[in-house]
Amino acid sequence: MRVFLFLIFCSLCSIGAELHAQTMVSGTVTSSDDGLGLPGVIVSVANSGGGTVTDMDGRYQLMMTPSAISSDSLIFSFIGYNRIVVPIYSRTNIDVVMRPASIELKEAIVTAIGIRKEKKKLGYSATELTGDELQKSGESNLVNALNGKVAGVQVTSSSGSPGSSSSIVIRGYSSIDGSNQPLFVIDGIPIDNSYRGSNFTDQANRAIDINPDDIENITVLKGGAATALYGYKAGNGVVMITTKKGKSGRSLLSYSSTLSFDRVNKLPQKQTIWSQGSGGEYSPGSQLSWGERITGSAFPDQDQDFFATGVTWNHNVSLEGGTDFSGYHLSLGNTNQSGIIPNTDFKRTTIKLNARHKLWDNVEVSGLANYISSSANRSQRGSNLSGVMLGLMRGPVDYELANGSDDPVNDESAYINPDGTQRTFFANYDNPYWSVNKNQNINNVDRIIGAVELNYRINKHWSILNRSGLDFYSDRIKETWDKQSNEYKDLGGRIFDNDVAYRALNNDLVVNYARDFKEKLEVSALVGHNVYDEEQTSYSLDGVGFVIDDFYDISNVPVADLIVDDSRRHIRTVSVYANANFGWNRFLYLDLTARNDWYSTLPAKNNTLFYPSASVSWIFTQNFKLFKALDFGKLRLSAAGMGNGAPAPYLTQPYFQASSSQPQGQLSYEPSSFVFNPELKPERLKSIEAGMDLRFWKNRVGLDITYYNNNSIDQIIYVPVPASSGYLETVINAGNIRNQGWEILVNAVVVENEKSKFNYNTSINFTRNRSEVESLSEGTDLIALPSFGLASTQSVVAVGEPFGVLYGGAWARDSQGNILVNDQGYPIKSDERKVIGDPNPDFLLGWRNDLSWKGFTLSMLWDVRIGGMMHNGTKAVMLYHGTHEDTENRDEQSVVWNGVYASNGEQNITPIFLDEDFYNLYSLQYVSEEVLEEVNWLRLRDCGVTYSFNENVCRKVHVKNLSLSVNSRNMLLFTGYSGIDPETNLSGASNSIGRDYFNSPNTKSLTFTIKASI
Amino acid sequence: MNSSRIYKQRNISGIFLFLLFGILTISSCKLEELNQNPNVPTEVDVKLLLPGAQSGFANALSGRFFRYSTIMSQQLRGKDNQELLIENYNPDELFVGYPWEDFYAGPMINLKMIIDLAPDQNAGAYSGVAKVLLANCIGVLTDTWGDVPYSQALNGGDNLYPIYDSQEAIYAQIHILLDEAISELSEGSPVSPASDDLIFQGDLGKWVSAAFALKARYYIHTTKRDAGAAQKALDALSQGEIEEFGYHYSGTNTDSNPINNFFTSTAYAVVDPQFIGVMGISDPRFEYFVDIIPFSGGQSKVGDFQGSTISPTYFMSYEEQLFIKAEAHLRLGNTSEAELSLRNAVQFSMDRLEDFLMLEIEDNEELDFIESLVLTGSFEENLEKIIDQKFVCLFSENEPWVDYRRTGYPLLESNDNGTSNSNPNGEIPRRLIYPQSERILNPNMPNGLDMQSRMWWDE
Repeated sequence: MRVFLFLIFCSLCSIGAELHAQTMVSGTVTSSDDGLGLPGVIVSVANSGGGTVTDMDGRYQLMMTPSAISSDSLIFSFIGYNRIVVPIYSRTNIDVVMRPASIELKEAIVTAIGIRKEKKKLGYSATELTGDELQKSGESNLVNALNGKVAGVQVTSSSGSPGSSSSIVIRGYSSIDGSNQPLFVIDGIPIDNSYRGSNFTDQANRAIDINPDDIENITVLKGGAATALYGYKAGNGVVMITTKKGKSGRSLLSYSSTLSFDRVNKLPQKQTIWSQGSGGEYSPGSQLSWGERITGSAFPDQDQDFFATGVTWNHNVSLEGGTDFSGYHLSLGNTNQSGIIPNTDFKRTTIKLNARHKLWDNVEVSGLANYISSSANRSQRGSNLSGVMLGLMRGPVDYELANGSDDPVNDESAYINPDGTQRTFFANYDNPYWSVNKNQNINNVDRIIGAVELNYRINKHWSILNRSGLDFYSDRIKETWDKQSNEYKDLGGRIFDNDVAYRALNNDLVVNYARDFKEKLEVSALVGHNVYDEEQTSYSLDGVGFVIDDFYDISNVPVADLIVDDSRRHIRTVSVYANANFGWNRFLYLDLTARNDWYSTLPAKNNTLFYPSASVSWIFTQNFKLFKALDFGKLRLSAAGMGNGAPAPYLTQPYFQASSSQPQGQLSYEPSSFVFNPELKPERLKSIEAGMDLRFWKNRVGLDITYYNNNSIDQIIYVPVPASSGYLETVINAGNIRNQGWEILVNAVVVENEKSKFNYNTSINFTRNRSEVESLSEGTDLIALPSFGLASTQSVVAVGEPFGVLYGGAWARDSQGNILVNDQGYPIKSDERKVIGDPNPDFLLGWRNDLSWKGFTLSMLWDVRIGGMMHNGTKAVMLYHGTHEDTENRDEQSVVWNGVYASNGEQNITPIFLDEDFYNLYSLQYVSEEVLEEVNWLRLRDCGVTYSFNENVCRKVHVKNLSLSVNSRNMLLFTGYSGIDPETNLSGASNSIGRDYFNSPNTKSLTFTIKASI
Repeated sequence: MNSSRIYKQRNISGIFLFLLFGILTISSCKLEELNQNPNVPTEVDVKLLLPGAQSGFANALSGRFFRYSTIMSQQLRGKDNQELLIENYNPDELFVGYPWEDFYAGPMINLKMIIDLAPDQNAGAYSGVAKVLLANCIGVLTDTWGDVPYSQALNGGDNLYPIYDSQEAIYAQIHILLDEAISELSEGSPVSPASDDLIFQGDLGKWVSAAFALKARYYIHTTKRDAGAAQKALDALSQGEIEEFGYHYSGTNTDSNPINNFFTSTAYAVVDPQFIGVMGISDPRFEYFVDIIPFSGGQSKVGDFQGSTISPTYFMSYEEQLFIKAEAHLRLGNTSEAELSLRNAVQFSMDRLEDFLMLEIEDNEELDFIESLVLTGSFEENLEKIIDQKFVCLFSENEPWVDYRRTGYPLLESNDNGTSNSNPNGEIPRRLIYPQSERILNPNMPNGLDMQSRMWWDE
């Protein structure tokens, strides 16, 4: 395109060179979006007149008079780019970088299968983020860095612990047993982002292995039409990551370093005046804090003091360069993070090489090799007698966990008695200092992501591409609990060694065709073939009963108690696909796709599915102007079908499994608790999407609105069966789950002042998703979602309800919905569990502000969440234990429960005390309804200032670019939720949401960054 | 473009063709072959199913089920968590499903498999063993929940929603299963259990005796319904009595009595003061039955006799058989025989305790205690004395709750806070609520029952 423009301008420009000029000014004009030379740029001299045009490589030369050189300016202009005026100041070499004027909407965006398409032609919504936007947040987990930045996307971190998972869900949850996380693709290669949940610790989602500093940009593809070419793996959307590539030009060495400090941002509040004990009497060793008024010392700050300042060091070095024929980008990254919980950390080292080389004019080879080594040390959390938060929050305020030590983490006297037993306030809960020293959860990942791409341009219209990718890693997990640690005290401690090896191979072979017919009709098309083969093996040794103290090795447990497991999952999908794009007269675009899959996980008779998609976009402003201020307007409409195989292999035939233990040394088998199904068929997704994209006032204001409606039909789901059948579950095709929602993106250039060099851009993204379970299987109205850790409140799908509603104990009510109380004024617990609340937010809003002035940029991301319930199980248990702040006025305040007497239906007037007896009666953990809290928040998710030194300073210190930034994360949080930061989830990046049960708290951080390149 | 260039380009086309060919070859191999799980067998011999069924039954009895049967019968007192809910006679319906699953989807499906596979594997003896245990399982289930699925149960995909059989039908079925077992076991078979039988090491005669002993139990349960029940129980026991009918844990960490694990890992229950009251602290066995933990604010747990890692889980203890004899004789007016059986039962309990814990109870203490057991009162007084001692000797087992509902003995007080929707009058429950999974999933579950609704044998 640029060459084309160059030719036009060459013919148009007839600029007479001043032959008698004495001095030559020269330089290169490059484009900011790819760093390549920009041909055909008009270079004119502002006052003295004259000028030239850049050549094919973006170079220009101008002969000028000495007076002009000292006082005049050069003006660089090019269609589609912002005009630049540069004073010459007697320089003879002036290089400029030109930025595209976005009003032209030339932006290309990476779409499915790595196809670049012009954004204006797309018939569906897609969002692009630059690497800078991600890196600003200072998050080591890539998924967290997406939080608040994309409409239609909900990101939830499980906790602030290093190496913990974050969930990303695009356009709502729909899959009951499969993953709801999108497909992650790096440079065209699908990579694994699995989350191996644990009852005990916050495990990672494996996208955490990606170094955010390696990312050039990310495209989030949301709807069916956008992702249909990827097939079943992309049913939940796609996060397409493009890594940094070597640009043509001289070599560039860059270095960046970030130092972050994390602090705990919010903790539940405890009462501070009542002692350990029960019945108003002090009783050491009691699990409760219903004792007497404390007369001696109390330690109200010990929870806060337990948490350390987490420190993260992050270093990145990269070297890049290239010519027209080849290019490379080599980077080395290291992240070393210590958590706010003592002895927790996350470490990651990455090496990445991207290289490309043109073998001949029409054949290019490129490749990616990325090695990652990551490891984490995690702490115990959740429903776990060794849990750190469990010990802290249940601990009496008059029991000093640190035992007077200044450094209780490293001082054994804090958590070990002189006789060698654990020092703790109650015999069955770990002292948190014990827990972080005596229980370990370590994992080490070595991972290689590799890709080779061969691109052969046969002629002007035809090309052929083969892209092979590999994602391979081993994850070595070691979990140990000391013999005195309460979670496994009964078994004499436990050790779990688990080696997981994962390997995915992906190959795409694509034949492309493109042609413009007489400017009116553009056609491009492709056909492709894909093989995806994924194999995972897991081998574990699970032992109990340590013999030698403090020696946590598998050799240190009796062989008789070892449980050995070897399991494997191997799936393969073979597909063919096709895509055709038609453009008419630059205003109407049609995009058709079709794909056929064959799945290994389904029975041969039902293992194939064909599905098409279509999208249309109409740039109506090319046909007529609605009103003057509207520069650009586009309407989009798309519809897509998509299919999916079974979420796991081996579901179609019955089998026996070895009993987990061998009673008296006898090998024994039992039928699997699962009823197989030889009739499974593919599950299907149907989606439609409509939207418009409007730009006003010379592109200063943009509005992008999308509505979507997705139905997930015939899901392959595990449904529980009555245990009286002898089995616990079966797998069937059933159900219809609907998600519909709105995404709105508004952006505006509020101030753009060239004179004062002050710019202010703002953007707001709005997400609203509504899900509804329209049907499940015949005879089943409710299915519990797979989760772990807490049975008192479940996350379920229920017909007529949103996805993932909370289900648990409730108060008994009369037909009008009044709570029933007994004659003593106490509310009555219902004996049946009920749907008690919806954890899905009503809407999410991200408000981004970017201000720049000279070298300074200030950016601020506000994040709003309204609605959705959280089960505050932590509070329920703290109330029972008498540690929660609500129990502080235990002897003063009586309440009259708002309800009616069960005996006569009259309004209750009998006051009761919310005292030990009250909580003894209920254990609110089992009346989940009572501890449900609505989650609303306003938070300053990111806020920071960057200063980029100007050229003169840079030259003095011999660098090309130099910038310093200070950023903060989560510095402000306003929420009515009474527990920890409500951006948390007990079940991590799984399908079960909205539960807080001694979850690890979240963090706020301050980050300092220096970046330089030479 | 020179000729070598063209040649190279053809080469490239060749590479692509080769790639295409290769890919199609790889991907055309049969996909469904990948869908065979290499880590599990699809067929097994019955001898591989039996050990798991036997240990599974023991673990089901002493596992999560134990907490319900003992708290309901005032053997234990729930202090926290689910156990507190049971104590308040307001158990959570989700958790009630765990013991239910522990039977149906545990040992019972294994036993059903053995019975189904046995004819083809020439293993009639296995079928007999499995039927004895299956009869025992459905007996425990019906005594806890009343009407339960059996005739259509355990059929997997063929019937996921089994109907509930009446308790009367279940009781009939128990005797049918035991009679079939007796005949299969007496007949023997070419394939017969040996060391894989963790209860009797393949001694089929003992299994026949166990079957008769169980018949006696399920006859004596029906004394309110059947005037001839006591005689039938005595007749059954005359055909077979059995010692050590239970599972003996080896005491390794993965094979130890769940009662021990329960008390080691949590302190959600203590021994109920009412149990201590009935036993009396002067009972020479007291300190081995009840472990009062010092300096713990009143914590106590099941002692070393029933609560150690190697304490056996009895499917039917010999003491129980002797107590059935005592009760049956008493009901038939044979008080002296009844007294003898009562004393034998307590004596056996003491002897077994001494053997198990390798200690000696002072002879005079033992003698004094046993001689104090005299049946000289009215029928009711005598019955109370027998059942009180049975309550003590069968500590940690399920039968005391059954006996309380059948006979009203021991005289137990219901718990405070025991009134709830599922237990309207606050008295000691007569049955357990059905699990959430059955309520939601099985349309055949009976409705309108609460924990005070009496069972067929209890009416």
